[in-house]
Amino acid sequence: MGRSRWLTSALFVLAVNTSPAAFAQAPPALVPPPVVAPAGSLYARLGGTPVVSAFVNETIDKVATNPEMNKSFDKVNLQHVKDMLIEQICSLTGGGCKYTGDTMRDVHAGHHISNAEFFDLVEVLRASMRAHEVPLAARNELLEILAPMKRDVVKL
Amino acid sequence: MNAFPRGSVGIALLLCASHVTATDLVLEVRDPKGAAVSDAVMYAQPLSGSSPSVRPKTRAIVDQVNKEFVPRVSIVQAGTEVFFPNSDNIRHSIYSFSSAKTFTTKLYSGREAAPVLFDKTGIVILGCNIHDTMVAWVFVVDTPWFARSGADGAGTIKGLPPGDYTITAAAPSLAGTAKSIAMTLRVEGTAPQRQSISLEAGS
Repeated sequence: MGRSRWLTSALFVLAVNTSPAAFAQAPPALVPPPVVAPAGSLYARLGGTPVVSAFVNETIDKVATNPEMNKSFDKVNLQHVKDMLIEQICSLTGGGCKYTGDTMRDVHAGHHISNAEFFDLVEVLRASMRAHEVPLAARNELLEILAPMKRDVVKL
Repeated sequence: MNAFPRGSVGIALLLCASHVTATDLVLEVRDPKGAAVSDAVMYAQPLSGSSPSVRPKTRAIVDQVNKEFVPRVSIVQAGTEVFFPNSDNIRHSIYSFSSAKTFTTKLYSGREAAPVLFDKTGIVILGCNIHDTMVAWVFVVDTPWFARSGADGAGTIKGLPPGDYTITAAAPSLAGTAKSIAMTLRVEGTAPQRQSISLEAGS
């Protein structure tokens, strides 16, 4: 009897506050990419974390708010997408990060992304890198690294 | 050694007896203004003694449909495995930081995820790391006698043996405007019993 009473009151207290904020805290913070990129790396030539963050954030914001391109971003946590993209670029360009996200195939499967949507995003990314004065050679090297991912992005 | 200890015969008789005299309890949940509350959960706990434990392999389902949890509100008995199918067929990343069950499970297109055992009582709030508007509640209770209200605010707790119970009702969709409520209720006879429950204003 004592035990069941206790459980009852414990449940009752818990039941009072059911707002998501009270229980579902944000996921653990990511380890931020290094501020000073290893010298000579593509990551450093892209401009390191300040510049990479700037053009990734801008690219995602533009694509996610453009009705022609944002079908796959409906209800998506954009901060998570940005964080993962920055981390992945940092990892792929010698910036010293470890990519902790899912495979590109798992990320895009089921979204039925068209070739046009893929190339539209690439265009936004190129424009954004130019706007942040990333040197031409570094821009092209990054695009060369990202291009083979198309097969894990479109028509899945 | 006696193959049929006296105790087990007594338990068998008791189970038969409670099965015969059990009744259904229809609970109607209303908000502080008197409107029917859908997706409210209610459960009955005997005032004395303990509730029957969960049946092995009891399962519940929380699906992902159009980037929403379906159902948004569930109630299960502690010891239940909850399955997370993925009708969306895009990636989801389900998590809970609630103390009753802290977990993450990733749902990928075309792959089934292992179920999650909910073994502690409490309220588990689910979110998705990919789609931060998704939210669902799983109430984990120590009793097999529970129900969830439909659009008319009514839910039926089936097969309650006669006795005195604490009845608790909570409506997560009203968090911040209505408090959950607990009341004692005597259950008797075999005819379905109806009881209306009014949630109090408050947060």
